[in-house]
Amino acid sequence: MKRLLAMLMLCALCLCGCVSRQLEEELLVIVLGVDADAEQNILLTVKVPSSAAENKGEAGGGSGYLLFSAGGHGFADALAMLRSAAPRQLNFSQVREIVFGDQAARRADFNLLLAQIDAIPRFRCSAAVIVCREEARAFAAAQKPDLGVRLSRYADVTLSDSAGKGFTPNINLCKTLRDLGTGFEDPLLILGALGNENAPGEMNPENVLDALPGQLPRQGASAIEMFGAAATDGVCVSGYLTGYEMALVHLAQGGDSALTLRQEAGVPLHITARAPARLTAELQRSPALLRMELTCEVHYPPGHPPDAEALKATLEGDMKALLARLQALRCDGMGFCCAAVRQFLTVREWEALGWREVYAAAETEIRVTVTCREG
Amino acid sequence: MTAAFPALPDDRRAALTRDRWLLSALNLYAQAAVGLSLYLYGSVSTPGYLSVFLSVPVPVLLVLLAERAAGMGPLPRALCLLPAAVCLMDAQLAFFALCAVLADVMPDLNLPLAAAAYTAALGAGLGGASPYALPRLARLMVFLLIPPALFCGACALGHGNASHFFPLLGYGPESILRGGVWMSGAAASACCPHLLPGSAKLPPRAALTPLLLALLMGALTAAVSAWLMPVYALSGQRTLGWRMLLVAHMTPSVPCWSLAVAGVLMLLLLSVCAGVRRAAAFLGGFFGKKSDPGWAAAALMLLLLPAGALQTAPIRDFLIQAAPWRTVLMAAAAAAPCLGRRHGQSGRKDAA
Repeated sequence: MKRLLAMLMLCALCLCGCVSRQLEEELLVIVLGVDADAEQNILLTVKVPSSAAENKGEAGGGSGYLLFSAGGHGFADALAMLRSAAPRQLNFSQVREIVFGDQAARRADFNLLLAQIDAIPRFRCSAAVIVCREEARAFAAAQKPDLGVRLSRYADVTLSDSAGKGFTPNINLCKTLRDLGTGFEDPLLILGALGNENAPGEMNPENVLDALPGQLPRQGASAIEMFGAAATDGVCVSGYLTGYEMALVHLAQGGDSALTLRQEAGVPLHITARAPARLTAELQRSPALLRMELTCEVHYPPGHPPDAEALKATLEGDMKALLARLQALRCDGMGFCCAAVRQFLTVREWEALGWREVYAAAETEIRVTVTCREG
Repeated sequence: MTAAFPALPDDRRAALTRDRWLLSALNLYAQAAVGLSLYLYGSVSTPGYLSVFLSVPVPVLLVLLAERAAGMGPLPRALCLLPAAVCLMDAQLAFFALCAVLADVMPDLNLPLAAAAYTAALGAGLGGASPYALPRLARLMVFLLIPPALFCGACALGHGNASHFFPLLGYGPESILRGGVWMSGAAASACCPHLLPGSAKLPPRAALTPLLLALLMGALTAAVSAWLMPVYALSGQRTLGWRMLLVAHMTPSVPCWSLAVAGVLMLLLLSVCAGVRRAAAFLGGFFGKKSDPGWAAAALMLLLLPAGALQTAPIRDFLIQAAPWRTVLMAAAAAAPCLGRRHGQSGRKDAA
């Protein structure tokens, strides 16, 4: 009998949520797009793989993928309509990207939209959250596996690669839901857009990375550009950060990626942070003072030592401008709130502070230490 | 009817008792995990680990009290109903949480049917199981449950933030204290091996070490949850099943997800079985049986079905209200023989 009990308990190992259903019997959603209009209508778009031969070509919206859209006066209506319009049951357990159109991401009930998406049964919580500067439907339609066969794998690798380079944040639905309005660090969402492949955008002569997607001077197989971040203010998306600004955020967070800056002589410098920046918040004074201390290491080509003082001044100036921008967007993307909350014992005391107002009005002080290394 | 315990040689009986304490420790960890998800995350939030630490004296006192009571002979028949109720409550909470986890993992599942299937299978298994089966299984389960739990904790490290522990006292010291009192109910049945028939007398250290380690694991679970979620998000509106699998939800790792789901299900199953089997043993004591009647375990399993299958808010609220009273019931069962003896001694003195 104890063997029976042991077998019964080991059966629990098989209960990991998988179900034996044929691929032809359901639609596996890879990309979910959410658009909104001024009349509170929601348009949902899903991109699903199709094994049908006629959908393999370009006519199918990409190699072997189908697009379904449905609208309604609110998320629940739109989802119900989408489910009724789809020829098979929708399975959201493999979603890789949730794409919000600009208008949907700026809605006051953006958090509610995210919660409703998370509440879809078996929804994949680790799907990346992308804010698209245009319509999410067009963005989803343009998604295709330019490399490899599966869009799911292609999206995974592309998103991971992009975040690894430091130009987009590493964010998913779970973290967004956790931090948007209830966390101590406002989430930065991935910013995407459709680039015009035939006409490269105008180049910023000062810094080519200081640009938003859709304007990048580049060409490639894919029209999709993911570059920069969408800042949130605890309620919804409040503005955009360029790729360079996002790279600065990565640098301050001690990310592995190197920030590349160009000297006046044109020699590139690779800057990495030794550790995450030390953030402090002096709340006793009015206005409060937010201080950032960052220690960087600069690698320069042999024979071209940089002007360390000039570089320090550049980094301090850029960081200050970035902080000012984040304050204007009411987005604490750096996490000063984490430093401030440590000074309080209870939630009641913390709430009495009114952090959002304090943050927006605070003065900033940036101290960057630069160590130069050859090679 | 199963074999009676006194037939065992001393060394086997000591081994059985040690396994019973291991089972008790695993049950304590399961009850702590259920308590965290059912009440502490919502009411205390991130300082939940402090509440778990606050509850530590309760199992220690109950174990010492139960040891004294056990030294005075078998528990009086009428008192057997108290630990039976406590163990049944443990099983009910574990079964409720088990069904909630199933509903979270498999939303398309017909929950009442699944709960009925579990009840039937567990009832049949427990009805015919030997009294040594669960304690021995517990020894195996320690190796099956603890490493995955540590693995999931390690996976979670990269997805949290130390600032989530702040404000250190969360919603205030009162909420932490209330949480500690509530959590003491989860530790109430920890002293059961002393009160069950057939247990050998072990040094207090041998009994207390696994229990304290289980509470430490409970506190670590609460700390990992606080590491992953800030105070508002942890206390936000989430289902019991989601909270039980919080680490899996917040850690995008397939091995972590699978191990967490399997580990939680196995731990809860073990807790259900332990609770029902112990309740049956105490009921056997109430009816004057020397060993636990199998039919009682099967019948008690049926009692757990409605709450698990229905999963309604009033049932959940009732369980939250009733759970802390387990401490009172168990303390009464363990203290009554000692008080009765003292009362008897003073009575004899007066008479002399």
